[in-house]
Amino acid sequence: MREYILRRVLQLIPTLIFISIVSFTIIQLPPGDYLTTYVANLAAAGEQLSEAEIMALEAHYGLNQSPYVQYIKWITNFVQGDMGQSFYWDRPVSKLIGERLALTMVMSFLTLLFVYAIAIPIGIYSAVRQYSPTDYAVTFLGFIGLATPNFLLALVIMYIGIKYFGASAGGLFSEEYLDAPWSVGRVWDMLKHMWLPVVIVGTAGTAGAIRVMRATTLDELGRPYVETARSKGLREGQLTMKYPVRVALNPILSTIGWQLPQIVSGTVLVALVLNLPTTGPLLWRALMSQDMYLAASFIMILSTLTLVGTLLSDILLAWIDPRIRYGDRGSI
Amino acid sequence: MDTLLEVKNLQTYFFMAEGVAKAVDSATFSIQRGQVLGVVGESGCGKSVTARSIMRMVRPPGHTVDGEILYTQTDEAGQSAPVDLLQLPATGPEMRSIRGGEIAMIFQEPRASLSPVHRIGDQITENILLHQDVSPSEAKEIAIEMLQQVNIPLADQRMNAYAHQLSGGMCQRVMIAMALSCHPSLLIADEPTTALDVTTEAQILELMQALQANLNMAIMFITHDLGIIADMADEVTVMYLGRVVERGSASDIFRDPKHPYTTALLESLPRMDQKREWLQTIRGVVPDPYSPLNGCPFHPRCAHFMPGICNEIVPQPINLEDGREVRCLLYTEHAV
Repeated sequence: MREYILRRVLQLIPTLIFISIVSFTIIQLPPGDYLTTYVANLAAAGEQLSEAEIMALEAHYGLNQSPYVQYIKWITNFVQGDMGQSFYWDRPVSKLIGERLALTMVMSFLTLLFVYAIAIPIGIYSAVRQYSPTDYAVTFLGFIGLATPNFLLALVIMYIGIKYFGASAGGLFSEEYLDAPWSVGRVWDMLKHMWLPVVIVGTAGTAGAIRVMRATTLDELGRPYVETARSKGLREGQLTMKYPVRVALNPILSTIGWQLPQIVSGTVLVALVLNLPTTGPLLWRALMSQDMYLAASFIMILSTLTLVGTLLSDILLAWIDPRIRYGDRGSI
Repeated sequence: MDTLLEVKNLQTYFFMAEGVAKAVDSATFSIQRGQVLGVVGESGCGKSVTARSIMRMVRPPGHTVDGEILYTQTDEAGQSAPVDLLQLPATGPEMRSIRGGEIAMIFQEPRASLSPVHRIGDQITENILLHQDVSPSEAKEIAIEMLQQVNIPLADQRMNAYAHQLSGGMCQRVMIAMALSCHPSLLIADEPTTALDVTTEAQILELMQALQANLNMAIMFITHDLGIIADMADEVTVMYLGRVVERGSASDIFRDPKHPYTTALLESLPRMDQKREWLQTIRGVVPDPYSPLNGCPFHPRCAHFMPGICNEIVPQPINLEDGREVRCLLYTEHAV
């Protein structure tokens, strides 16, 4: 197992290097460099940078050197936490992303919990009682959930909130807590706001996960080993949970890792509609305004998280499924 | 005779969208304590469904609609009384204690019959803990002992193995160890060697015979292989389309088959002492289970078909001399 993890971690390195090169190329794509844009922006605002300041910035990012050196400088700075400057926001990229990342992660983690807490039991029930009225009802609702775009659901709920309850459903904080420092009251206020986006974002995921759980459980229910378990005289519920469900959880667990990039990018449209201070809208704006350091940092972080997520999934899967763990060793 | 299990008029139907498939249609037979009953027949004749009906493991859309399954249960005081398994709730505590505890089952595909994600030791001890009043460590001891009994080398290490790490033959040994861990009085073996190669098959059969003699347990051996039946069985039940068409002692049936279907089955065996150009086969195929035939279900394939009789009258079981039973109109007054 340790060897397996080590090997997988080592395999990440070349992929990460490749991705960083692609990200860097993206920074280089717009005409002119970051500094020219920055200086032009400042000039437009009526400010001037001194020659010395410009030189210092040039040296910091290696702008007057070959692309190769620039790349090395950029990636060295990146690894050390200096992701460059967002000229749209006129703030360091790391600060911009950092403050939204925590909120996004909390929200996405809650969404993940919400999705699995609802989808797994319902999926199992649906499979065990296949073609029962409950199964049909859940399947029907599931397809509606899958087919409804999240942002539309967000709009509808906001409309209902404003029209009938006189309350805005947007944002994650009430006005009095908007810029307040963190406190118990602020956390509570956040949680009170958060359930709504969690439910909205989670709807499609839940519907999808129910389908996956139902299908994989159905697949396993007819396997011979389930019959063996039944022939031992195990209770029906007990044997269902211990054998087919245990195996059917594999695809669900193995895709948890893929949720990591989702956690960062958030659900852009819903976040825009609901005016949530998460990373989604930031990424969207960065792309729209060619804010290249910000955009490249996002791409870099998302790609890294995708890789880490896949790695976590694989380790998780190897941990729960001996066939994968011992796959490369053959029989004993 | 000490009857362990008596199946009377068992009817298990599958209610499908295409219609009702009568997988087992009034099957009657019995198993004596400590004896081996061979159940033979082609694919789809209802052998496996009969076994699952006894275990009360038929899953929807299948339902056992009628019949009696009288199992002679012996209590701790040594008193025995028959229980009708069909009267017990299929998932209730009494049936669950019989299933696995008193009637155990092994299956056709040994590797697929073991859980892919649990160690074999866990799967065996689970069975022991369900039916015996022992501690987990005692259960582990028993499990290792059982693995040794089925000739698995390094049994204590194999406890930690997974099914995919063992060969098919080893997996079937594990299944046997698991099934026998609670000393059942009846083992139902549903084609236990069909998926194995002939060498392994011979080893497994030898093992089963040895264990059967040691443990004085009855075996209901389901197979389509008449060679195995000749080797293993004391009594034989021949099934065709969900019905028992003939039953009797193994020696009688092999020496003097009564039903034309049994005769045809025996003739389709390759023989060492006869030189033949072609292997004899039974003409036709098993008919569609959704559209039942009039009269005897075997009549379209029968070599002794009597027009106007076999396709009109449903044959009933007829008792012949020396305890044999056959379900054929040739042995009635209709025969010419």
